[in-house]
Amino acid sequence: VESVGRTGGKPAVVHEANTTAGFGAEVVTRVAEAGALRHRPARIAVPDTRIPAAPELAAALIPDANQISAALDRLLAG
Amino acid sequence: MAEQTVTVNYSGAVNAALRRCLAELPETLLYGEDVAKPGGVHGVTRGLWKEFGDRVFDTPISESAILGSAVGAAMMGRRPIVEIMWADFFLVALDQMVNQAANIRYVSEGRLTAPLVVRTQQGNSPGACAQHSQNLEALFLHTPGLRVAMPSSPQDAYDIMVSAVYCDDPVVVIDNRTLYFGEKQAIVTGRPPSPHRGQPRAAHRPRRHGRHLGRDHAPGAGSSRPAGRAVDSGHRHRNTVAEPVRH
Repeated sequence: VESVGRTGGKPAVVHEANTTAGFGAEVVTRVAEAGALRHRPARIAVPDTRIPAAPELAAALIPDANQISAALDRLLAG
Repeated sequence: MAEQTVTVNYSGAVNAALRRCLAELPETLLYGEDVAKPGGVHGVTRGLWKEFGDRVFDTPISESAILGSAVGAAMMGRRPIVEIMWADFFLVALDQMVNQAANIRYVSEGRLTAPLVVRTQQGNSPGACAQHSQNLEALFLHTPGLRVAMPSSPQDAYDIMVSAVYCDDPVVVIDNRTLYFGEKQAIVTGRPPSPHRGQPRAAHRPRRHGRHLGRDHAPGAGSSRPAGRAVDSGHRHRNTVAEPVRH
């Protein structure tokens, strides 16, 4: 929570689990409960889908370095 | 146990932690599908059966039996470390974990505990497909009575496994299997299990310092692997990394 405060209240959470009700949602909620949320948070996670067998399709869904980097750029710009 | 620095990859760190616990705690058992003679489907438990004999054994393909027997053994004074080969396979045995193990301390009014560790691994990797790719940590985090840890480095994997085995509550330790054969790193072994009983030594700590972007990682927060890569390869972000504060 303190680190979120130091970075302007802009939390980003990243995980490989699906977005909805993931651990990241709990982290964001606790930041909000602590009053440290100053900005729309970024939840960087897998969309609420099943994971396809084709590696190319799985790669499109699972956040990789580029996707995370892009999401952080949007967060910092926003 | 004396402190020592060894250079191991992630799976080597888990192996070292398991070896230490089996040596230090005669009440420990290590079992699951293919963990003994084959040394684990990913080789994580290699050599332990040879070293510790009957306390390390293979089981039939029955997750309910693995977890159910672990709950009973833990209640009777053993300290079982069991493996569920893939987190997806946990689902056939959730009654033993969520309805039994998590309730032991509560329903016995604190007279009994269930000091067991379930090791498992999860996530996607090529060829894993839909039934072997799920990340299920939130299911366990949602259950009071269970502790959940997700290490992300060899040092964390070692520390968390040792602390989990010494912990008197049921602990689920979830690895991301793509970390198993990562680069070797120097880790410190032999430190006391945890400054606070039941709390993993690694726990929450800042992983990266900078100016605009902090990077904290908590066990249970999902693998930091993709995030780490983003920060590592994120030249644009590297100079804007903020200084996170210890919590």
